[in-house]
Amino acid sequence: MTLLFTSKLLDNDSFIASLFLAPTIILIIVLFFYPISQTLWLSFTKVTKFEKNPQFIGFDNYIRVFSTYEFYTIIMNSAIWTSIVVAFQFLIGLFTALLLAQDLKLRSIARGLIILPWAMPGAIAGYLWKFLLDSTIGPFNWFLISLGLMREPHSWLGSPSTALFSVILSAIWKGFPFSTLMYLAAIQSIPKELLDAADVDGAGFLNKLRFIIIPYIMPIIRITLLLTTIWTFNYFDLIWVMTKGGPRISSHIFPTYIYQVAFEWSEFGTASVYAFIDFIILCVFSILYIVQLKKGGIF
Amino acid sequence: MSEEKKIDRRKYIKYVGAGAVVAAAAAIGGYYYATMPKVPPKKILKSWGMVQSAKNVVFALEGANAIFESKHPEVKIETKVFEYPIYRQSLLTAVEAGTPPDVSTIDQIWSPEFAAAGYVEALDDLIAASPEISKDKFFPGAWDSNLYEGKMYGIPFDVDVWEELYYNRDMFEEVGLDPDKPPETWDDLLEYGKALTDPKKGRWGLALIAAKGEFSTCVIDSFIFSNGGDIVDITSKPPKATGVFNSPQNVETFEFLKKVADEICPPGVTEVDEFGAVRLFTTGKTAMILVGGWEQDTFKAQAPKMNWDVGYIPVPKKGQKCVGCFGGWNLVIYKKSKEKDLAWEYIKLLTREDVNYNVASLTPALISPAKEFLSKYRKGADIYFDILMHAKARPLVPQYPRISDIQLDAYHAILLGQKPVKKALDDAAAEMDRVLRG
Repeated sequence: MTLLFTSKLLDNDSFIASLFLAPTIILIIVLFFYPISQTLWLSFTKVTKFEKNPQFIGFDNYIRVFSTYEFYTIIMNSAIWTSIVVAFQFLIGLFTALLLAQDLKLRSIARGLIILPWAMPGAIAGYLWKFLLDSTIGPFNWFLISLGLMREPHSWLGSPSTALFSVILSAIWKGFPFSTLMYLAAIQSIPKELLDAADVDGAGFLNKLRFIIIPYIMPIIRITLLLTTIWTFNYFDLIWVMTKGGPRISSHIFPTYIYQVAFEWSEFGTASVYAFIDFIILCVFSILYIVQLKKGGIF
Repeated sequence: MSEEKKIDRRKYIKYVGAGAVVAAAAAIGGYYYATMPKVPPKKILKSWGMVQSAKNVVFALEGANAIFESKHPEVKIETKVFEYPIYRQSLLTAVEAGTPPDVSTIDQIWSPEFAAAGYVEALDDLIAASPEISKDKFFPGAWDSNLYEGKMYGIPFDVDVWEELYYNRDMFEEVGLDPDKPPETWDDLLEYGKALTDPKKGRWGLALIAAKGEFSTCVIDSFIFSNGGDIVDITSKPPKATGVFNSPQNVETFEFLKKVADEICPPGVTEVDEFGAVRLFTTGKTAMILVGGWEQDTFKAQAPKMNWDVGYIPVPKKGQKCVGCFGGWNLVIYKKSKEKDLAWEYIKLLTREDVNYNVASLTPALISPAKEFLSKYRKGADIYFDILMHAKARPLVPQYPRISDIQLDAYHAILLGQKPVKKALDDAAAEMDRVLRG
């Protein structure tokens, strides 16, 4: 009887499919749904290192967070940080990809060197830029002074008005090679005949860029923009090494602030509020990413 | 579906399933075989510590570990040493994950937090049974820093104090200042600093540590304490900050620090951490620095030819006594340790006078070896010892990390000109009270 039942199950397509999907589904539940649901639960509780049993307090954490200036500062910082980093990574990435797609001498060496910032660990890049931007011994200030663009050294990382933009600069430098590689691969897949035909018709470089290259690689541009947006929004190590979110909270974004609240202050309820809002925002970008993949026929 | 396909599918699933079971069994068996000890295993005693100066702590501990292992041949000590900026987080992660070391040093300011969170063992019974560990051998502030709700949760390992004034004698002479007379008062500090400041030459009077981090809080606290102020009244139930942190003395102190930062320090004080400040001093960018004595090892390593000297922390008015911010490290045993008895034996060894002298990263916590240590390894030993004996501890409350951050945030708001001093301190005191009330 058991053998017959097992035999029937093995003939069932749905059962077989779920057998093979089971390990993946279990992993997703353990690594995704469980932590998210735990975070959501903790956001409605008071729980610290000293009061380890979560105490349900309703929406108190949310009301308190929404009434602080820190919350709106973090949102603003995250929006500025993400939009500028992604925009410039796109522009510089596309520019260097177009350059590397040309038949230039030492092209292969240039392609290898361009990867270096991206390959460098975030913490190392952070310390490098911290030194470069140091207000007294950093070369950045002295370079600008020698060009006559500044009269005296400026504290890039110590001023609230420039700290965020200083870490943005380092993030652009660190991340643009990924965009370069993506766009270079896409550009190289453009049929040569299209570009040759454009040449025959007398099209200049800008026209080729506008009417052939960009439209052709647009799906890759969309996907790359979405991926870099998700990664940039969730950045941690560069900012933490360079400024720890300071001075005050002028360079804090969601991940760095969550880290400080959770692991330095042990206010897990408050940190969970920020973490859940971070998750909601990233969900939006992730859905857009999946839509793009579907449009591209990957799903 | 054809019969042939059904049979193929069943066979396929049988083979895949059987293969998976065999692979899993082989992997598990192989793992256990590889990790199976070939000889009776030694007990492992995991000890974590911190390095804050240029001293090679791991090398120093090897000697102590060899002594311990010769007395306990069944034991192997695994020592791990961390840099200060990552040490606390590494410890907390290990403790919460259930894999703490057996014994470690912790910063004095973490003692109430670790005790309140239930991470570490109370040691009163062990202390009572160990006559070699007695309170009068240690610096008083160091011993008391282990107390939480009347129980002892650690034993002092090493101590130090924020801070002393270090200055470059050659730079003093260059501008006509007497290098045998360092600044004594706040007014002196400003006067000397202005004489030594020449931004066109890339030189400033003082390297002031003010970046985000506990080092900055310690520097502020030494000025607060020297001016008769405090941060939190820990005798109150619950502890309170209003009326204490925003006292008139503290307003005066923070106004002075703002003046110092604006007039005699390089631009961007809020980005200067301890390492950055030392670099400014050793590269001749600043003529003075306020920092702990452990950095003397770093001065010798980074600038062996620099002609530097030591002075007291400048005080508000002549004749007043400077009060440093007491600091240091305590040895604790973790509740989740399976080798608590061995951990206690190890603590007794590390706090033995002759051993403590060699292994302390800062100054030995025992008074007698500390005197000898300071005389041998620290310039200005008398000044150093005097400041140590009269230093005051930071607020020993479990919420101290948050309190420190609030204090620092107020400091930055003042330094950056974002808030007037009184408002910044009032806001900070109110926030501290909210945290202290829980």
